[in-house]
Amino acid sequence: MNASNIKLILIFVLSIASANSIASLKDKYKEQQKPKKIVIPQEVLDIRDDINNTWNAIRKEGVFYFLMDAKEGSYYSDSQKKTVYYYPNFSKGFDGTIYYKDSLKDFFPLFVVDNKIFIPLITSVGESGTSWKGKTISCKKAVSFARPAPVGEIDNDGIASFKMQYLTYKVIPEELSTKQEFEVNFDTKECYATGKYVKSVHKCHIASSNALISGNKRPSANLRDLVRRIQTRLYLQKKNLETCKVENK
Amino acid sequence: MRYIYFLFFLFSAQSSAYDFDNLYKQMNTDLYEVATKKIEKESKRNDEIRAYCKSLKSFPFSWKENFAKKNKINVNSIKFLGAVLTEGSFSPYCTAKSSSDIGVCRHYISIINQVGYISNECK
Repeated sequence: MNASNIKLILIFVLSIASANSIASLKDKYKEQQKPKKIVIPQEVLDIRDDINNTWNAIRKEGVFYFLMDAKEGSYYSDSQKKTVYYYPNFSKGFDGTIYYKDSLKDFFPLFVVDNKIFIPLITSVGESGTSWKGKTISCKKAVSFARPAPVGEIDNDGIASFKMQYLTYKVIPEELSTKQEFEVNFDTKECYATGKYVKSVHKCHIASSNALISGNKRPSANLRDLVRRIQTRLYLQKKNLETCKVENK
Repeated sequence: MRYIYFLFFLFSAQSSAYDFDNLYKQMNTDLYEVATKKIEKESKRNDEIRAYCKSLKSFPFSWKENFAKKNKINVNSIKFLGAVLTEGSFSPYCTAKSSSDIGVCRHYISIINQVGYISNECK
């Protein structure tokens, strides 16, 4: 074999090798571009379905209420003709721009179903896990949903007594508080509460979210938005669920 | 036949109804478990703070270096004056005292993932 033949063979081998390496990078690139398949464990999906079906049942068979502070003239007012509980609260900027403020300041959302009162409670699921119907779900990446936390039952006279605390700026509480006492007659819509900062008893308002939205002449865009935000946050979304696992106790 | 249809309707309506009584009880149990777990976790963390605080007899050299660098002082001027454990109304907290070229400082101690951290803020 002479030198020119060896050269030819070398060129041939090198060109094949480089073509292969290009093809392999191209393949790798293509592989990288493919959306990664996210695998969520079936038992995690089952819990997700259960949480979401629970909220669907509560929303379908129950009533979504807002319990609100009754500061006359500030956020809510009563008129003889019509009860208006909610006023969009505006503020004017220096340049004349109108800004929305979160009007529903002292309130909390609650659901009544079968004479039972549930409050949505934001539950963050981390590595230490949380309980759901006797099982423990834990996640490496943050996941959250709202737990229907039982706070009280309505008696035969339509009255329920329970403890909670008005929220400021948050739409759903993160923990149950016993700082304020409430006594609500769901038949007559009478509502009494101890104060948030002072203990004296004063009137509060209870109204269903539908009544609030339809009972306002003013287009309460931020109230609709608030209701939508609350309803969205109830459910366990799919994001990060691939990092979760379920353990039976 | 109508009677059979009625029974079928009644049965299907009952079987699809959600058991809110059971949900109420289950959620109460879940909340109790969550609260118990939280108390246990806090209790463990409090024990860790107490143990770390009692065991602290000097500042780690790496902490001294950071503190000296941050305050532009001589590392040899930093002296450990002691650690004080205070039983607060909710949980205990621990502070360590230092003396250095910038004077006497108090440093808050926290426990993250079972490891003690000494703040290099001078309070």
